[in-house]
Amino acid sequence: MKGIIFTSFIEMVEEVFGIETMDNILNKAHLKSGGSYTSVGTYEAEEMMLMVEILHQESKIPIPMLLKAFGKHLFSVLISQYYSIIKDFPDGLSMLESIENHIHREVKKLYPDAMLPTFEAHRISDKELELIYTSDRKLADVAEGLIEATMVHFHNYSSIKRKNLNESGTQVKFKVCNA
Amino acid sequence: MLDMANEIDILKRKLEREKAARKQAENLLEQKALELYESNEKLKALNQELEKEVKDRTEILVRNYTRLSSLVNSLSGGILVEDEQRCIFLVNEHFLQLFDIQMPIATLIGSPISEHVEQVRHQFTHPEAVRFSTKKVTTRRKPRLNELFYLKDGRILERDYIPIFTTDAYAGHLWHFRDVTEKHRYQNELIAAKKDAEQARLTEQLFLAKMSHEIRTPLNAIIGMTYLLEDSDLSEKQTDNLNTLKYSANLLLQLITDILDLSKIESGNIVVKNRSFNLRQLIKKLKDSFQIQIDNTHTGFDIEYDETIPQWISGDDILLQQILFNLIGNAIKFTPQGQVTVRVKLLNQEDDKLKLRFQVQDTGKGIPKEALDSIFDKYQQASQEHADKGTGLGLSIVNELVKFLNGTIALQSELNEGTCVTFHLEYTKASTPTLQETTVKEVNVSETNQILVVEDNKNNIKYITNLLNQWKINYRIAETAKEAYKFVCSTKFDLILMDILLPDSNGFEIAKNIRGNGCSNANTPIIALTASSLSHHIQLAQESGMNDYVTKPFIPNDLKVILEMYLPSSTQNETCETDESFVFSNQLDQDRLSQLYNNNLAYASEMFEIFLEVIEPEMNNLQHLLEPYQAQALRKLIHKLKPSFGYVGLTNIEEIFDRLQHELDDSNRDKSEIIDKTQQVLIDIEELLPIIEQQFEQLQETQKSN
Repeated sequence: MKGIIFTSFIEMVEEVFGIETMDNILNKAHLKSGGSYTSVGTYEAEEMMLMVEILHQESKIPIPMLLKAFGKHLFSVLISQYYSIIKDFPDGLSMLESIENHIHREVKKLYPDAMLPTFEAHRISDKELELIYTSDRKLADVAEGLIEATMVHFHNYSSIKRKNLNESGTQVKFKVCNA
Repeated sequence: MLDMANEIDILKRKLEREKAARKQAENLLEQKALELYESNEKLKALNQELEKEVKDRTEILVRNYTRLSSLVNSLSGGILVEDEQRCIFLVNEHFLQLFDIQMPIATLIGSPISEHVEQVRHQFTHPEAVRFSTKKVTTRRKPRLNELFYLKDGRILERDYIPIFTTDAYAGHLWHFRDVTEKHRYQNELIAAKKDAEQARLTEQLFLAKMSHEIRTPLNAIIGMTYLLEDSDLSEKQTDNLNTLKYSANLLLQLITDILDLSKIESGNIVVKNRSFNLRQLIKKLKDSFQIQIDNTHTGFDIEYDETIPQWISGDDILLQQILFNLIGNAIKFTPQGQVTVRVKLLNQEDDKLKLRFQVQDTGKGIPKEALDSIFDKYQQASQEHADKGTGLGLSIVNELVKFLNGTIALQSELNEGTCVTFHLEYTKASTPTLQETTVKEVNVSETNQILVVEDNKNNIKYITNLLNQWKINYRIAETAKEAYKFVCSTKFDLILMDILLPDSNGFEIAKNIRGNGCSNANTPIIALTASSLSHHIQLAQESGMNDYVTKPFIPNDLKVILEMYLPSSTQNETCETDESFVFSNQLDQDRLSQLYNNNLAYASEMFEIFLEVIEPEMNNLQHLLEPYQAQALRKLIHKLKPSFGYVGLTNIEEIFDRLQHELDDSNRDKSEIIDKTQQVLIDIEELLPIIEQQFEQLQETQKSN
């Protein structure tokens, strides 16, 4: 998992819960990396899951909620860093539609070793898009946060319907409607 | 205090983690920088390689282009190569000189041809014609060679158009201009010289024919007189003088006949006739004709004839007769006492092909060795002694005739022992004689037929009318051209027999007038009755519109064959096979074609084939008459070509030709307008040709499948 996910997460936790909570999490987690992350590095995804788990225990906030909130935060980080990639999209749906074939392709050029989830897009109508998230990391909640933040970024008022396509949560379908 | 210490601890740990993260980031950066450096180096090397390759290729290209342009420059003609966008790709100095273009080559290269065309085109006598022709060839994109163009300054240029194709794609074309002014001058001089020479030969032939005829008439009178004188009371001295006179007159007659024969052979004015004849009979008749001469000498005359030779053989009997007549005449002449033997032997027979050997042997004076080599030359005789007895033309006539019949001839001779001439000729076996007088009685012509006989010779009239009476054919006799015209205007005939020489005109003229005056006999078959089989007479007959000829004197069967061929009753059996209904292309005049051919596909196919054969050269001829513009010849050719288009259903082209012909008659018409229209119709025809070709192929296929 790319370092930027970790640094963004730590940034969010420190902002929302304070540096003490973050320090506490890191002390409890006994991470292989020691909790030192740089955004350009690559780290074990388990470390992230472990930190989220501990944050849940500390804060009593349900994990899906934490992850979705993280998704929204991650979007703001990504957009400030890689604005050039998305600046030409006219609206939220068309950007979401091209995650797989445009954005992820650019990411792969920069980080050939990046392990990215797939977002299979089906345009249903002008105002409707179906996205199927597939990833072993089961981070559909993060994805949901990202999707919501995207639509907000483009000032598109939307409804997002979500349906798990399997029990494990490795494949989830999102139906995004532009109001 | 504890809180503060705790907070410091937290910050310390955070700082440691940040330090560790920075270290990681630095390591990563270092690693990436290294990778970047290496990639950069690789890229540099690759770039150098590419640059070298580009340089090498450019060098090759430049070298090739230089080679090409120096090659093009060294060529004698003006060369201009255009690319597919019609921009100049290559041009040589010679081209610039031809058209007096003052621009440097480097400036011209790459510029669109359209920028320079005007300057070049206005130098031609007919700029519009050049434009048409250029448009035509560049749209067709097929090589077009040796087109002629005339410049205002009098030069004549020959132009080649060669399209360039790379694998499949069209990649431009090459123009090659050559100054052929000099060549044309020489050619015209040569043509004029040839024409002069031909005219001279014609004059010579006419002179010889006329002279021999003019001299023979009084000479015959002289010879006749000598016979009359012989019967009168003469002194010994007078008899001697008379014999000398007789001898000299006969010699002169022979000389004239020989000269005429030889001139006919040399000018190729002999027509080989292929017909069945009885060889044994021919030899016997020859012997009979020499009988009186032999009786007056102490010479024996024998014939050794090979009986295995088929009775009827096919070939030219007249020329054979002349060869043998000359040889036997010679042999008898030079053998005052002794033996003359004629041998005919069949050497071999393969299927119907017969190889015959003829020998004429005498035991006469013989020919000295030194004279043998030139014995077949003109006017050569073995010795002065021989010279007293002939013109020296006999053997060379024989030699020419044998060669003319594709035979071989050899002569062996011993002085004072005798001479033997051997020649070989090939004939074919004829199963039945083609001319049998017994069939004459069964002429199949209808009594209703009416024939006009134009003839002034009473004997001929008698002969012909006898035959016609016998065959129950109606006829009218005209002895002068005046009478002939009178009959032709009042009566419709089925056939006209036309003598050539008439007191007030000649047959060629009359035939021409009958064909041209539009009377009811304009299409009646006209048969020439010619005393001479000279080929130029036959040609004249054809040119004057006559259909056929019969050589006088003729046997009844000759005439019968002609009558059966041309009279309606004998042609009515001609079958007109109609095939399954064939549908002509709707791009052609369907109604007209079905009317013309009535579904006779063989006939239609033949007409289409003839059209396709003649049209291409005739179109070229038309094109040539526009440059320089030759109104008379153009009108003639357009008139001649016009009906051809009708035969293949191109009625609209036929109409255009008709209009063009009328416009050409009108001298007020602007000639450039006519040139433009002709050019346009040529392009139209060019586009229509594939339809005709396709139709022709269909006709053939349909015929085959029927």
